[in-house]
Amino acid sequence: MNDLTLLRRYEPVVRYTKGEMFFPTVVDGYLRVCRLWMADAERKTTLLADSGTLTTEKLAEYRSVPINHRLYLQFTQHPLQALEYQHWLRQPTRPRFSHPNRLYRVGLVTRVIDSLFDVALLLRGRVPGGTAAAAQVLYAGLSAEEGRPAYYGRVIRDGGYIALHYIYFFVMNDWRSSFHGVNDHESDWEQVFVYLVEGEESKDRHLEASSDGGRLLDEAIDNGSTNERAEPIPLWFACASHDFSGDDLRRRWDDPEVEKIAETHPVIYAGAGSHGSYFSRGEYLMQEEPGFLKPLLNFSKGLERFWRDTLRQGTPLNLDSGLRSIFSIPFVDYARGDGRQIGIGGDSPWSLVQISDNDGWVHNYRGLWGLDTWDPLGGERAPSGPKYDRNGSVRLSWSNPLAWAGLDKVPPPRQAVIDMERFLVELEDDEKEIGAQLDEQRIKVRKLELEVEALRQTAFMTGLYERRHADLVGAESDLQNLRRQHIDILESQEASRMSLERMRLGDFGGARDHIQKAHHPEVPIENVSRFAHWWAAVSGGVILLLIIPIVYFRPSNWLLWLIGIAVLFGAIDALTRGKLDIFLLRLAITLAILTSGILLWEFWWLLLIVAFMLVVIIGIRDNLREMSSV
Amino acid sequence: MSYENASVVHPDMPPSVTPEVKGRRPFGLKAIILLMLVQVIASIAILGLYAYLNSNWADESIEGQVDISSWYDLLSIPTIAVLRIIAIVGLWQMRRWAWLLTMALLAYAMAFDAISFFRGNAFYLAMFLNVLTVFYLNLSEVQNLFIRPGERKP
Repeated sequence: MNDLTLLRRYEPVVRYTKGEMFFPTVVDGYLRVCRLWMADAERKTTLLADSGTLTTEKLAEYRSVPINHRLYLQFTQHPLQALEYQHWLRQPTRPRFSHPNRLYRVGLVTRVIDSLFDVALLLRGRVPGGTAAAAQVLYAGLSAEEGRPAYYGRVIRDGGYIALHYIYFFVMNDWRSSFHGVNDHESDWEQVFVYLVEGEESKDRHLEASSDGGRLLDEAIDNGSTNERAEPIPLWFACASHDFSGDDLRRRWDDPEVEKIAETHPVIYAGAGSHGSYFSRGEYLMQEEPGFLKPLLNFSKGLERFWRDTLRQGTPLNLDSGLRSIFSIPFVDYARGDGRQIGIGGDSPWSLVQISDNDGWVHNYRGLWGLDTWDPLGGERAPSGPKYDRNGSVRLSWSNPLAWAGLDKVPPPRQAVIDMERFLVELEDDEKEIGAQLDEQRIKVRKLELEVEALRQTAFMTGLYERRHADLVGAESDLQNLRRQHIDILESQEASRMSLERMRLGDFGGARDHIQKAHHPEVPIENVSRFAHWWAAVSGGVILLLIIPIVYFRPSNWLLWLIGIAVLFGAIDALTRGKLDIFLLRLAITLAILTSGILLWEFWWLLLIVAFMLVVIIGIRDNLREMSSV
Repeated sequence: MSYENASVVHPDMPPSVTPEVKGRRPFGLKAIILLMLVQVIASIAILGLYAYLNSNWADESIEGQVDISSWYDLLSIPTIAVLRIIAIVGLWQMRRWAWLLTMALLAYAMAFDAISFFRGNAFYLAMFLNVLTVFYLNLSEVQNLFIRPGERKP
């Protein structure tokens, strides 16, 4: 089966969210509109190619730049101005996104931080307002010309796998401006992989699929009565998803989470605006916690255990979720799958363009594929091409698709059996070798022991006795080490033999055993009042508007005012969620902890004395009990 | 053997807390109810004394000795007293809403005490009793006493 047929056979079906404005396309039309710029370290820009002159061939000519210079494309020359933007917003044909409920999902503190994030965007480099709208207008013209949606595909054969690489190019990521997400940037690349195993593997996998049917097919293959032998079969499916990496990116083909159409076309759900890929439809909360939070979270877990187990308190403190919400900004990636569906059985089929290192525009051009905003955090800068990262280095997904999805360490099933058999032979050899060493060492230790005993009973030989004794201690320790190694080998042998048996029966472990951190969609929000949505939208900003003047002017009792506002907003927020009881309870517990702190601060000496007296009294009681039990 | 009269244990309850035990009021709960009763009586006494001292019958020399200086005090003392009476009745009947109401009243009292402390007027005994009450009512086994079949722990 050739590469093109393979790519076509397993091409994914992508379901987008209603309101999505940009769909995968080829780069040619995009490049025609773009300008190519070069910027130096002082951000002084030079126009290298004007709009209408760029093609893939021409882009391939820009393979290097002077040191400290950058290359970038610019798609939208003029973001829509206020009036144009309002006109664009009112267009009936514009795709509309409904019911954003991001802020309702998170607490008040997180909303305040979200408002601060919006303020921070003013300080960072960012894609100008109206860019997404202008991009949509340009894209509408392009898609009319370019026709149906397209993806780029390539096939990589490595490590016993055939990796089918599906690459999607979008002219714009409008996650922030259209869907209240993290960032906007011109151009976007997303990718999906299907990992197949070479033809010989198909025999084993058919056996795994069904014992009877598999065996029949196996016999048929051996008799040469079927041409199934050379047909590769899918084992894994992986898609790029924001901050996930390695093993978490991939799912086994037989994992129920992998939805398929016509058995060979996996379905992915694309995040609205972000185009991040998900295995299941839903709304995904992106709450990344910073690294420094880990020790704090561990400490809070310990405190929680003390609270629950030692103090036997019924209502949990939930410090970890509180900390998480304080130090992370929530964004929702809406992968609802209720919009356009592209691929087999969908609203439109895919066009396929094969690419490889031989394509100049892929291999030579290392610049950004859209506007460089100089955002220090990088989120608002356009990405590089399908092959490169923003810093010009080759993407792992391009150079080593197996490593990208954590598959470098996972041999294909047939190879796994062979590898395991080889490993068992090696273990057997090791066991024999260590066994022989053990025997030798034991003889050595026994000889030394005899010598030491002899020297111990002899006068005038203390010096030699001490040296030999030290030798004996060392030799004994070596013997123990060898024994430990021997036991380890025996244990490994036993486990490996059992594992080999399971593998021969077609059992390669659970479909989801490799997943460390699965990303699950949030529970759908239902029956939420308009006021609750309204409150979720405004509360974060309003509380900031109230707090800032109080902190600045500091009226009398300003701290009380701040606490009062926080409690009032917390109560209203809890009320909108129907959790006023929990809020009051937590408030009482917080105040009790505060009051305990005050009492401890004021009466720590008295507490020490009381504690000491209690210990003494308990001691006396125990002594009396001991006496009476005699 | 008939199971008809066997009592049903709610799944949320720990195995040791059967409805038989649930029917009994622990000493701590009785003490809290008594304490609240004393607080109610004290509130009524303060209000009564205030009314008396501001009436025509009071001796001029002791007029103004009970300092209820604001409308806030005049409104909050009877309101809290009424809420405490409601909570006492509910606690005696071991209702969850009463447990929550008591917690809310304690939150109010502790907030008041904390403000007073930072203003230099500390009521240490009240603070101590409030803290003790909150931690006692929040004990798992005490919370379970107030949970009826079909209700969930907050």
